[in-house]
Amino acid sequence: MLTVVEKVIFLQGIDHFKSIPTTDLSYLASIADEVKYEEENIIYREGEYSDSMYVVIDGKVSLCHNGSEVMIAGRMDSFGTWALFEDEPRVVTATPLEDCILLRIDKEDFVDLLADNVQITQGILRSFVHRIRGLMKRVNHS
Amino acid sequence: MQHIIGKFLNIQHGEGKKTSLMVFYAFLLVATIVLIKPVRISLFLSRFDISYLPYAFILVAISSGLVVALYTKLSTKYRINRLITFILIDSVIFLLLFWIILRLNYQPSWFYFLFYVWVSIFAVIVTTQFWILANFVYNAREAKRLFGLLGAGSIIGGIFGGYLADLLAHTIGTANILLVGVVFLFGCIILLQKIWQTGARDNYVTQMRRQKKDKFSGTTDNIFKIAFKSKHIAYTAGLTGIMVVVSNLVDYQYSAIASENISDPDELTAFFGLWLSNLSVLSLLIQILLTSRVIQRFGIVSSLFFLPAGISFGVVATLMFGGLPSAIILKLADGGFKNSIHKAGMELLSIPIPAAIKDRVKAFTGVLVDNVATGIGGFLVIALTQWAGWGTEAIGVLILVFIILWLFMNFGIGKEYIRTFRAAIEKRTIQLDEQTLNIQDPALFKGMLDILDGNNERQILYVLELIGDVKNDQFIPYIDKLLSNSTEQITLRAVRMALRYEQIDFSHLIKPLVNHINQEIRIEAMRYVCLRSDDPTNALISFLNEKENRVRLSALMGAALERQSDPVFRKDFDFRLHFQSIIDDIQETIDDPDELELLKVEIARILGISDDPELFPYLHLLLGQRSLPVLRQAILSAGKTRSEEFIPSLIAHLNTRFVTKDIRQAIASYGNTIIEPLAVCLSDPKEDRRVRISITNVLADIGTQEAVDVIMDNLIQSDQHLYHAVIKGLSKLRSWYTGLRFDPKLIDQSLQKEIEEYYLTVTILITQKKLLEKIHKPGRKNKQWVASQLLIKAIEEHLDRNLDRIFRYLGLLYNQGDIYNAYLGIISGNKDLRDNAVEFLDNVLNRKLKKSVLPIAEATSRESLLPTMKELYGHTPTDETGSFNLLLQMDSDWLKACTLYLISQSGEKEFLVLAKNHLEDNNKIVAETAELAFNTLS
Repeated sequence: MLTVVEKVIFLQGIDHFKSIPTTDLSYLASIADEVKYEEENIIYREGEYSDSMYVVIDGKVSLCHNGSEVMIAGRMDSFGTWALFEDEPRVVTATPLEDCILLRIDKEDFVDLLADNVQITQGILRSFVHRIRGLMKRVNHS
Repeated sequence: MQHIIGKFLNIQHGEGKKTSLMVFYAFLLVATIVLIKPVRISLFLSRFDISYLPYAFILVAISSGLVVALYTKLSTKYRINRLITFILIDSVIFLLLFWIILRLNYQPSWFYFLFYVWVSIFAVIVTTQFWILANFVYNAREAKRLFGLLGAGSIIGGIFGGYLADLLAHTIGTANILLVGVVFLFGCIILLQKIWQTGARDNYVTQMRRQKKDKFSGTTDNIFKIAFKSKHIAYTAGLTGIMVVVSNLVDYQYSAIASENISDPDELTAFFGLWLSNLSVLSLLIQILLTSRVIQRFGIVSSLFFLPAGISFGVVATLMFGGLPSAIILKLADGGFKNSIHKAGMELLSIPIPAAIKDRVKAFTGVLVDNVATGIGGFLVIALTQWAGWGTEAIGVLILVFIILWLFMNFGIGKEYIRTFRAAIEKRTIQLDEQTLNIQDPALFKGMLDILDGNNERQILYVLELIGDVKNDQFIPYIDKLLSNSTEQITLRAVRMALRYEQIDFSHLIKPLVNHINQEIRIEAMRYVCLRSDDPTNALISFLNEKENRVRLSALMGAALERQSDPVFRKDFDFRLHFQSIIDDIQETIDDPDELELLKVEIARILGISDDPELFPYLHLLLGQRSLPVLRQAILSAGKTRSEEFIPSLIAHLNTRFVTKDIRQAIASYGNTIIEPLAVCLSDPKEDRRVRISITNVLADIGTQEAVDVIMDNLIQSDQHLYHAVIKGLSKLRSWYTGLRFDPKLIDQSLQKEIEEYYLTVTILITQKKLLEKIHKPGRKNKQWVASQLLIKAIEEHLDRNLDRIFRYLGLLYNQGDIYNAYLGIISGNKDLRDNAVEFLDNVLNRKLKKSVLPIAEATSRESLLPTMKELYGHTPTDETGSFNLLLQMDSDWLKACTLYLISQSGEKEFLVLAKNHLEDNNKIVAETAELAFNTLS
């Protein structure tokens, strides 16, 4: 089992969490569960209710939309992230390509955590602002 | 060697080239001035009697006015480097012309006056321009260290120029000295170009760009208007004027005493020559040894007191003892301080003046004010000695009178200097214009009526807010239309408005509103209907007996509100009976959970307003509800009652999610009565951390001295999040309320602890960074490297919070807004903002804090703090084991966890004992990581 510190090391690599101080990230790590999935054992299906996000600790996960693969998530990659921020159904089906170990953050726990830790909310907002600025720059350049 | 010289002269890395160029420039410029000044006086006295000299003074004063007007025009059109180059080339041409005229052997009388006036103005203009340039070459902090050195360069230039003039006069003749001046000025032009390339241009462009948005930007205002607008500039001009007048009086007194005591003209010349040289040497010594240190230790404003204090001492000496020694003391005090500490202080005062007007202000004070004051000084000497027949003692008394005025102005400029800096660092915030509307203004009133008649709902609401409780019959025609408006807030305000006009009956429009979906509108409509009926109580009872529960509850709310304001109604109306009856009916008839929830919210609201202890059990029941809207309203209502029986439930709800705002509002409404139970919870380590953090916020909301005292009692916390919340609570109290006292001794102790921790953490960071370099292998990121990176990041974040707390503490001791702006300047990453912030702190902090806080604020790297760390606390970077030990002793659980994780990845068995010591740690994350480290290493 991963310790909280090890979970933080994984979480700080995720775009949305990059601007959160590590000490606050440790609270997020505390609500992140380590889960195991066997090969081909579907994690979630397209159109299902979104209730959590995942980070790959070990293994590979295929993400498919309408039957075609759009991405393979490897070690330290995250998927299903938007589930934390919206109530829309899943847009892809996530299937392990091999036996996997993942970190799973539940949406309810995440929202509870945000209510108590303004720094985490600020960090996530900062990340969004950076992304929007980056997108605007790209739009302006093109 | 270069390093040793730099350290001795206080020159930092990157400043060597520009400083040597500037010192050489100052040397050449002053050498030129001192070279041609004796030519000026000797030529003048060779043609005229000494009694003509005061007329030359007055001519200088008049001419300077014209020159300043011209210079001001030029300064708005040209960049400062071009302007200086223009003046220098112009001076070269003039010197050559003067030389040619002197060689022609034809010199009319006006030529001598022209030459005298030109040299006087040239000397002032080029000196002023040099210091304007220096302001662009150096920022405020650099200027404070290096202006002394520039002054030294100019003094040495003066000594050199004086000796050279003496030598050249005997060898090449007086007139040819002008050609040497031409050569020196050419040197100045070359140096100027080099100085401009080494950073002055960039600083100038940056400053000008920033100042473009300033209120002075691009101003073509008359310089007098500018001085009138800015107290800072007005004080600077006033100080210069007084100093020059006093200086003239001192000169006269010194010369008079000397001529009284020495009768032989040759001996007198020798005396003046000897003491002029000695004065230059004294100036140089003060400049090198004292100026920078005095300014850095006592500050700019304090440095301005040295000259008046010295002159006062000299004048008192002449008044008490008379004679030549006291006259020498007077002259030495005047000349010694004037050209060193005082000059540097005056130059530094101009730093916060906007760049767009700086050169014009300098020209105004340095040329116009200086020369006008010289004229006034000359006039005073003529008037007092030749017309009034005063002696030297009376002149001494007059000097003391001027010095009293001078001291007052010093205090004034001290305040203005700080204020101007404050404004400079505040400029990063946007000030919204305050707009006030005068309802009596006919044009505005007409405009408001037009808006009420229109369809823009946002504007209508704004006008209704503006009108407030104002009663004016001209609004009556609009009420009908407003009552029918679809926007609820407009309808509500219209009903309230209708209540103010008893002569008109709006019942036909308002009665239907008693069934409105909005409770506030229902209540106001019922109120209107009841007040318009013959028997308001019966009217209310008829609403209470309606079938619709919402209407009944609104009527009950109306009754509850009426009970608050009308004691007779409170006595006669059986509120409990009606309440009980409605509750029973609701329980029997309503099954729909959504409707029941809405009704419960209204009941909770009524219970808060009714303030009837007999009904409090209902409120207790509602406080236990899971429905969030019901719970929120129950919390707010419990707060409204301010009854002690709700305190335990409310404190328990500090832990409940999504009701934070309501619970804070409810608890804060108790004021001091709830402080004691809050204090018990806050200081109880077993209490939930979330509750304790919320209490710090609630105490800030309460905003009393008792709240401050409770937070202060809890300043020592091992939990970093709670500690941060405690300090934030104090910051909020300081920011939101006035008249609260924060024990300065306790704050200072905590602040000193924070500062020391900052320095200690920096030593640890430096050690950890060195270790990271050691374990780094290009292209490979092993687990130890990742762990080391995480620890470094955690330490950096710890330092950021540390700095935040240091400035929060400073905000409790000094003006909080200013300190916050300074903090923003320091963390901004913008060099100018940072320099301004540092300069501001330098002026407001006490000496002890300056020593420890300023190095942090101006540090360009963590390593640059090492000497201060060693000097203040004896901290030096430790080895790996030492830094791990220190980290594990710190109050941060997260730092401990990160340290133990790095230990777990180090593979070093010597650290096993450190892991073992934390296996039983109270913090789960620390204990878990310690176990990992222990298992890995063993």
